[in-house]
Amino acid sequence: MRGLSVLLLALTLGCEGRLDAGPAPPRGACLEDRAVPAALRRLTPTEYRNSVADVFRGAALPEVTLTPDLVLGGFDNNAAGQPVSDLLTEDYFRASGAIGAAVAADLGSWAPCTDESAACAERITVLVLRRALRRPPADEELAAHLALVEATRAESGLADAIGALAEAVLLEPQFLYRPELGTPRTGLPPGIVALDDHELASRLSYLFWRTIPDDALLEAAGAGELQDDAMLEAQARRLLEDPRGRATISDLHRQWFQVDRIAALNLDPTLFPEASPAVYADLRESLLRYLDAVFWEEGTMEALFAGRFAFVNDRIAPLFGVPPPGSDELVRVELDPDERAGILTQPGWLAHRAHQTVHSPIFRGTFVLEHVLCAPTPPAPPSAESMTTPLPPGTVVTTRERTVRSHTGACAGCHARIDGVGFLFEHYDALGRYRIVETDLSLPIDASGMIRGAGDLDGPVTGAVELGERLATSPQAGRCVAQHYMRYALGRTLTEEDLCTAEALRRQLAATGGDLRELLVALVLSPSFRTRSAIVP
Amino acid sequence: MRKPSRRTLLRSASLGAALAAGGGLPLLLPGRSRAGGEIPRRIVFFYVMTGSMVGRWEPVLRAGAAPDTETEWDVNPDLHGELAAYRNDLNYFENLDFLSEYDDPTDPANAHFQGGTHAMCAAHRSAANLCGGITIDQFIADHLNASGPVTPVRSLELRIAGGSGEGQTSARMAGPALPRIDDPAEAYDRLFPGGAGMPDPDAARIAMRRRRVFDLVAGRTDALAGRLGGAERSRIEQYRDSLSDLRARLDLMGMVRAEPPPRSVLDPLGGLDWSDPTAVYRTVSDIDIQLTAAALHTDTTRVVSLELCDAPDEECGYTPALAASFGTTGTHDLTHKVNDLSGADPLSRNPEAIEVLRRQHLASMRRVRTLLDALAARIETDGRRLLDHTVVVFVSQIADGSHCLQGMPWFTVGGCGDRLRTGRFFRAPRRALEPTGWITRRWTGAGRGHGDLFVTLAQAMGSTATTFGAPSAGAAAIPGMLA
Repeated sequence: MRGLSVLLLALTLGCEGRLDAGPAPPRGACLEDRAVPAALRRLTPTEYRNSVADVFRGAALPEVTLTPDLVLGGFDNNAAGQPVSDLLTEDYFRASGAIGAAVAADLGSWAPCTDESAACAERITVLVLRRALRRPPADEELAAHLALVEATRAESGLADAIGALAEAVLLEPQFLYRPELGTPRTGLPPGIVALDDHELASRLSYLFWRTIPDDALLEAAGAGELQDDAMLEAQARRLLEDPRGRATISDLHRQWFQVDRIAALNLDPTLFPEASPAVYADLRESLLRYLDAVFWEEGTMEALFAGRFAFVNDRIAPLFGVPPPGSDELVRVELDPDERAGILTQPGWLAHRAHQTVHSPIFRGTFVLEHVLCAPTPPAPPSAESMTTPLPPGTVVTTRERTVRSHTGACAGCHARIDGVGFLFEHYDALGRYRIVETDLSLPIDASGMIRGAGDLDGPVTGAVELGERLATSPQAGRCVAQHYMRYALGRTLTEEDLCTAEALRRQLAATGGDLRELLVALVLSPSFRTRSAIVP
Repeated sequence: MRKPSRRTLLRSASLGAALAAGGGLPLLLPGRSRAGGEIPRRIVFFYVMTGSMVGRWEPVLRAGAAPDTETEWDVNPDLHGELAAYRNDLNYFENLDFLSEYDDPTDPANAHFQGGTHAMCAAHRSAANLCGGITIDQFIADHLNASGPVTPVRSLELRIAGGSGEGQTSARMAGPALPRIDDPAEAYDRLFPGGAGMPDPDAARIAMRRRRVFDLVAGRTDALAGRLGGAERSRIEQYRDSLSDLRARLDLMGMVRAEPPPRSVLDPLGGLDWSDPTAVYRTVSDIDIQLTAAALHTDTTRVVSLELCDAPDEECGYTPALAASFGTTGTHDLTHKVNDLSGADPLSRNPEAIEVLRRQHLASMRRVRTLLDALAARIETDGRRLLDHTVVVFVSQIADGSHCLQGMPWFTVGGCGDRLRTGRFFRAPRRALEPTGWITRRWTGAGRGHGDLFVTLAQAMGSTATTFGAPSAGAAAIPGMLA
């Protein structure tokens, strides 16, 4: 994994200059040298709940709790973070029983018929299988399930039989996982197969809605339309613009910028009396609203990294340096352009990169290098924390100076990169408030820094506002945006085989003026989304 | 939205599965017991993150004792005074080192992952933050269940108040850790889904349907596995095995060696303020420890990993005023400064700061004591304590706040069904080690690999394993520890 990071870094360091708006490689051009490893994805807990709700659309369903997956590569939908566990299998067993009982008791709300006939039982079975498998069932699949339904129906009636059907389907790996077998297609290099229409439909629906395909998408797949670029693009746009897409996009950004960490904030109340759980909740919601507005209202990379607006209420307005809007609800306000620019100057983001008593240039710098520039530093050496140089007792210095003095000797190399970025945020305290002197010390702020090892961004920078403006047009940042979207969409860690697609998407992003929605559509049309390596038995 | 009744479902399922297995209704009646036969051996791994404090936990040799004595010692009253009552059940280890980490070619993600990725598996990392092999608890669970499930729950993984942070307590193979249960109510439902209730009168019908469902799912799982290859196929096969295991374990539900605890053991959770770390630490640890003892006593499981977080500030007396005077950002920061090996940090010599850390470790020892008391209070069918049929292993991912992986402050308590000799201080002189590469700055000699302890524990639990983990971890049972 570290080898890949280094490789990605090495391959990106050479990119200099402004955002390159040159033509994107033709579609399919990235197929020549790639054989993307397989990633058998399992439904995340959210995908499971959404899918169940759509399979039994209209039924009153119980609450389901599933063991959460691990976060790998920044996202919780990474196939490598989904190990099989006895605990989760028990969760599935428990959930299938509860859901089976619920849908059996509520047939009239969701089933197309409720009479005790074999025809009705078959009709419901076909409906459930088509939705749960995300494709029409094969004859032998239908026969196997009908055998269960009929045997149970003979003993205890239709409702119990459908309950048993639900229990079985919800335990089957064909439902819990998203198997993609692929199919050979003319024009593809050896060892690479195309996803079939129904597999593509599932990828689309889980990317944009985190649930099963709707009827329109299944019909398009059944008609073989999704192998056509224009039809696939049309479906992608339809799903993206659907209200269900908003929650998924919010989830993508929430995980990317680790928004939930705000909920775990616990600043020292003696030093930050303004802080409270209510403030943390507001900051979290404010950050989510900002990210939503970036994508749905502004729609650009420039807004992401250099937007001069925020969402505040009376409780958190002071943290943003704006007057209270006279509302408990969050409302959009404009910010001082000399003090704020983009996501990285939003107090919600700034606050969750802090210690209990003081902000952390290291946490902030590390995040930017890894998640905004995709140019992470190597892991800290094992003894890093005990290698810091303590200050003499009674020393009064700024946080910056304290950090600099701590990072000598063996620490100096990596921290030159980390601190060089982290110091750009020195104008913001642990709650994200703008300041011109270090709190309580009356010592002036020095927010100058130096970016190293990040391609076109390398060089001196002063302050987070300048950083945001440079990020907005940076090829390095654009490539990193593309890589995060790819990781989320593909549910796996990227490999060197993905670099061609990432670069193509970066160019596409540039060609559209940094349009984030167009980036997602382009991703759907990319080879990484539409193909996989052939299965070797 | 209604919360599903896991208890009812599992109870029904167990009835069904039992019927499906041909046991018939008498099998299902309350009071069916597995109390006869050989008393099983159990093992608990009590896992903490921060280790201990050098010089404050080691056994104190008695006056006049030989320098290399194994038996003439007393419990160190400084940090282990809580364990004094169990002196004769204890085993300590001199110079217990993570030798497998010495030659691990993969750099760790940070200093905690350095130890955390080796503590329980003793194998070279598969990634900077991931274990490189099966952990010892899962190895033992595999051994115990090699011929089919012997207990309703294969192994239990509990985490108290967020657990130990960076590291892995349990893994079935190289890669991500197994999930751990944070909520005691969830743990209770998993361990005792039947509670003290009566069997479902509709059991026969449920049983028949359950059998059909499992049969169909098994066929569907095989069919999909057959169409995949490599890692994808392996994942589906793992799921198939897990389902099969569940089906067999359901057969064992309700067949207990002792009365399960009433659900009222969870009552303290009712008024718990989950935003209060001290209350959560105390309440959840108390309940989890009681559930652990009950799970072992009822023979619901024989392998438990209990992962304890660091004691919260209030438990350590780490007040905001002290934090301000220390200039530290939290107990984590304080730990590093007090453990500054160079002695340059003034906090490494500050009695108040040292006392805060001491109280942190004392809090962990109080939880160990609570567990030992719970195990000692439960009596097995031979009239002896459950503790006599159990071995509790105190595990930490680092030795102390300097992240050292030498001289681990591990100890064991309990004789594991007379398979272990106890009351011993197993000595291991530090031998010269030829250092290489970056390791030179840390490693100056080698003690006993903690893989040796794992081999000993595995053998005590009935395995015939003679090695565990990386070759460098250790390759033999600790001499004299096995009875």
